[in-house]
Amino acid sequence: MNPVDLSRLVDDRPSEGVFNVHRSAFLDPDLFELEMRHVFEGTWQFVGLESQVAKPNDYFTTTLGRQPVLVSRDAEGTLVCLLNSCRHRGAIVVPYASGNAARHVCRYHGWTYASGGRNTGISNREDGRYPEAFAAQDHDLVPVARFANYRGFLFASLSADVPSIEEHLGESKVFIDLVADQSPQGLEALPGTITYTFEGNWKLQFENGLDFYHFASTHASYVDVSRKRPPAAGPRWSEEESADQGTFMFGRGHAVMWSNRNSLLVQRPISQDAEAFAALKARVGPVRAKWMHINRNLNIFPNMQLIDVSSLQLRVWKPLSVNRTEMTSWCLAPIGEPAAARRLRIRQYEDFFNPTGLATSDDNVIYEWQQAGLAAQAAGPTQGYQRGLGAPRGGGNAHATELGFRPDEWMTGSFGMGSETCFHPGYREWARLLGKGLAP
Amino acid sequence: MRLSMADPDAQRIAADLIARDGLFLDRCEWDEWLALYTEDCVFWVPAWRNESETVTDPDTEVSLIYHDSRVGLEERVHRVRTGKSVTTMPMPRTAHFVSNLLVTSASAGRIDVHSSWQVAIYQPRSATQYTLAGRCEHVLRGTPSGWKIASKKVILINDRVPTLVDFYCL
Repeated sequence: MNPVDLSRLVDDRPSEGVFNVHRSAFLDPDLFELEMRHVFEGTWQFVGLESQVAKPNDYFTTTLGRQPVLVSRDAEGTLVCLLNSCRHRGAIVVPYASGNAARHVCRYHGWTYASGGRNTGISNREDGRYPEAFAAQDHDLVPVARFANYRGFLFASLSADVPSIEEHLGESKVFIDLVADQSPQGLEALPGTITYTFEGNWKLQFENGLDFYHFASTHASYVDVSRKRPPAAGPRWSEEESADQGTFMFGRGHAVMWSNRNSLLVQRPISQDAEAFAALKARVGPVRAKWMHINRNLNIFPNMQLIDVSSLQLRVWKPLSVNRTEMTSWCLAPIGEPAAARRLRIRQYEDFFNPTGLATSDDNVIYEWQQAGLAAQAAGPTQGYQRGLGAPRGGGNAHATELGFRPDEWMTGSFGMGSETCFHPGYREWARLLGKGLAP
Repeated sequence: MRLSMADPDAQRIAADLIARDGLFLDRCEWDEWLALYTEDCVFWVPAWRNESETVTDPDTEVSLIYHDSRVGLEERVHRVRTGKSVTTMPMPRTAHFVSNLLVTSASAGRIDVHSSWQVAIYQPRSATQYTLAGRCEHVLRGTPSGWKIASKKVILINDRVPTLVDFYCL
């Protein structure tokens, strides 16, 4: 199959009850190169949190697609995102994951840069017999094309051809706000960053984060363990909400899967302390307080998931190859949370989300089984994108209305629904970006 | 950390208990393994805060694993025994190696011991293998039913987790 035959990669005919993603989307190394260039280096990516660079000269390093970047707060307090490559011979200027430095020195020949990226020194410049043209060149670290901060979530793009971050996020902002507003002081990422890899394509993680259907089967052993624990709460997160489960689909690939089921019968850290929760409810109102309790899995296309369930997880993936993915995971918490609630949040995060815990480890192995099984191209298309496709689509609904937004599409159903149509926006955006990149 | 000449008895007790800790895991002898631990044991694998420091406070920072009683270990064993976790389909094979055993303090009822370790892990499903490595700090307690592990703190140096790490990998 020609990897650029997009209509065969994503067969998107919902009105005919058809949606399929070709198996080669998970298997083809040539296609992987194209998606790195046109998806991961062609649109907004989540790069980190403002709280990671809280003070002047704080920095962290990461990648945008395959390209190394430095996110830094300069001495005056302005945030910058720069390509982490010396202008002289290309070496990494900052080798550390994070730190605080007013000045960065390239260790190869000693070119120096201020924390905002300005070149402050070229060693032995006068003796170097540079041509005249050199003086006219810019020697500063190169900023990425676009860089923006939405409520402490930092996004960057190597392509200038993207809308504002607000337009890119669209109505999915409502679900970032439901996390960001859990404390008047904002959010913090707790120390202890977890990284792991799995031997599978990144899109398996992208799908899984919106997949309610897998929980009872994939996590059966975890459910068995949790049944032996004393219940700390009832089976529904919100007694005020009668609906069980639903999804919201947005433009540009983003989507939400929500559920009112408290499968593990645990307390929510935000309401573990009655007094703190009363203050939260008074500040944000009963509707948003209710939605802060309902499970919400938010995918921000293409590389970020925000999972607010028994704890609050932010996870980001970095595709390493067509069949290998690196994950980075943080436990997020409202700043100023009571100590007992913070402890509960951390224990529940480790229990569920760690690759050393009792649930994510099963997901990671399943991705590897999928990657191995998807190689059976002779078996033809999979049937994994059709749950929910038989229901009416479009328009506003009561849940969106009470939250004050209008999704592109939505689904509501029973706990057994496990709709798969929430994967579709991501694939539509993926196909759009590949198509745009490949256009003559 | 004050280092003194090790009490030969303490050294022998520690070497024996830590060897059993690994051996029972390698043989999947879960009940024998759990019986090595006190009911109030702490099993702690701190995450790394940055390239050079692990976290130090499990109540305010994230750990890879933190259990403050044997119940957490019993749950992990139970999960394996349900036969429902794909992480054990099939069960990975492990081989524990412990060396550089150093008793750092010893008294009538307590021995503190440092060690270095490696665990070779082979996944028959995919014919892949990897090695985890690090240091370990055990606190051993003398009880009426013999010496037990009251605390096991595992410093995992290669903390980019390959797919999964569970109790039997450490």
